[in-house]
Amino acid sequence: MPWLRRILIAGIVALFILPNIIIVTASFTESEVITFPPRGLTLKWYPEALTSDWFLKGLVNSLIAAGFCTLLSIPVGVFAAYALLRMRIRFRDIIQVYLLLPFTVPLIVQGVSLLFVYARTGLVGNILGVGFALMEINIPFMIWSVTSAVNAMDPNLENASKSLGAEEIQTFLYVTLPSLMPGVLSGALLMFILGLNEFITSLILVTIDTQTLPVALYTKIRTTISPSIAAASTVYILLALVTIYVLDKVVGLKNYLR
Amino acid sequence: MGEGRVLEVRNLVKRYGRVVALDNVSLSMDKGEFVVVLGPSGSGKSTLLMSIAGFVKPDSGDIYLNGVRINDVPPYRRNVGVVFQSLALFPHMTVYDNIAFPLKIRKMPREEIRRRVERILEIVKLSGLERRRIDQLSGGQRQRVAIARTLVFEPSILLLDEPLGALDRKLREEMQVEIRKIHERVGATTLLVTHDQQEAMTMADRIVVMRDGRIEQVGTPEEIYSRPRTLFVAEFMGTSNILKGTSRAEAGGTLFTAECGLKLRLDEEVRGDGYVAIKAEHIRIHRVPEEAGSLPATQAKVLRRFFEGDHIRYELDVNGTLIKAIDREVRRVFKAGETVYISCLPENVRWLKE
Repeated sequence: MPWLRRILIAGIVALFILPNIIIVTASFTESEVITFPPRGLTLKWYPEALTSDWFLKGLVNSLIAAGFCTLLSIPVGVFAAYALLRMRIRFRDIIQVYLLLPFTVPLIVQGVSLLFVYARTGLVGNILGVGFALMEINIPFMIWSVTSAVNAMDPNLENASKSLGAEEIQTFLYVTLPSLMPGVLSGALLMFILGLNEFITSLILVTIDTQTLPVALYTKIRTTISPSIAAASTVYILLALVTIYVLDKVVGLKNYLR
Repeated sequence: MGEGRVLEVRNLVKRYGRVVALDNVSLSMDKGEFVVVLGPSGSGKSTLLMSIAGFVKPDSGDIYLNGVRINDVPPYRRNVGVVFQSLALFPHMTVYDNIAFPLKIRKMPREEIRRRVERILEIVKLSGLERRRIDQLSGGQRQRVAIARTLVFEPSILLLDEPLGALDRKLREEMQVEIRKIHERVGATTLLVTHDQQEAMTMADRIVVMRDGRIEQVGTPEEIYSRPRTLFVAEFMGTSNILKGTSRAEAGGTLFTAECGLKLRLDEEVRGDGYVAIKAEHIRIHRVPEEAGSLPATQAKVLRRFFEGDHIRYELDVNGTLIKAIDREVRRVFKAGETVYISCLPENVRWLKE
């Protein structure tokens, strides 16, 4: 029954997208508090949100933290995944389970533990500390992504490279790494978006100066329910979409997210 | 070591736990020779090839390439070209970049690289496909890229590890001829490993049959096919009739009596239990035993007859044992159910070692 399937798909899509539509339409209201359906139609909340200190600071902090997290996750993920699969390592299984720990420990607990460490080392209030935390909690995504690329790689590729005259390091740089690039790129994309959106751990680790965008939004909504929050949220959604679009244009996601 | 001796493998041994992959293997190859190592899976043929390439470290024995011992030379310094079964083409590179890879690694001038790649592309008939990505090529084209990539840096020896295994039958036969042609054009010393006896016969100057890590027999395709020395080789090459029995001395020479009762005269002086191999075209069929002359003739029954153009193929029964025969005398026909007598000239009966 194709019509039933269509209705089901439409229902699922609506369910996912509806809250976003509500927040986007609410950002156009003329009233002083968030209202749905919106009263009147205005864009005045956008300049207000986009020029406000809390939004800009949060956005910059989020971009720095997510960017740092992504940059850090690439070498960590590549070497962890490659070493676990290709090298003879003792306690391989234990290490593999250990690397999945970030998923099993609740994020709130992770945040608290990191807070202790940061308090001792003076990293509280440092945005790169937040970036490191984002890397730590999400690194399994990167490792999984690279692992599947290592598994998909023909093991003879490296032998072929050597027999053609390339030494170990040349082989890794010219053959192994480029072959793993699809996995690395999709992993990096995931790390960036997850980093941009992470809330719980960040909430514990940030100070006023290092508030990331999700934390800034949360703080703001606790004090006021101004439509500028809806406007900021809309920009936030757009930002995530633009990220994906740009990455798609740059690296051609269609080739990689198969 | 003789003049023009490219490869010399001496007493190579490789064990994996209890399994002996290479059991005292020795082999030598002259410049320009095309040798095919033939054997079933697990015979050690791939281990031999990978030892020469440098990816398997033998437990003992020596490998010499152009007179230099290369046991401790890493793969990237051996100047050995390998075509893997999976081809192992670099998926992130174009055809041109794949073939240019060994030259770039050798820091050759850009112009020289271009000249060499263009030349080799002409040899393997891929000119015009330089900019293609690997996934835009057909199976046969990929094969040619892999061969071109290994030939372009002029390796001392070309090693091919079941390179045609993944292709369908028709394409495989085409590529067999194509590889042979490329070999004639370039003159590269080539060692190919396969489990396909047909492939070995088509391509080799010399066949090395391997079994359980040992070399069973070495010879030209004609020798291996016509004069198998062991039961294994005879079976592997698909000899039509292999019979178990006993040899003993007799007035006229050696007489072999098969378990089914078939009596044959042998050229060789051998005694005791063993096997003989006879090709179908060497079985002679007679209406009366006298036609066999001084040779022993054994009674047989015609089971089936297949007319195949220039010859007739018979299936004969000798006391419950199937004997296959090919008769080129198509004007004389034996009918199914008819009683006949069969014999074989002594030079066509091969005594086999077990």
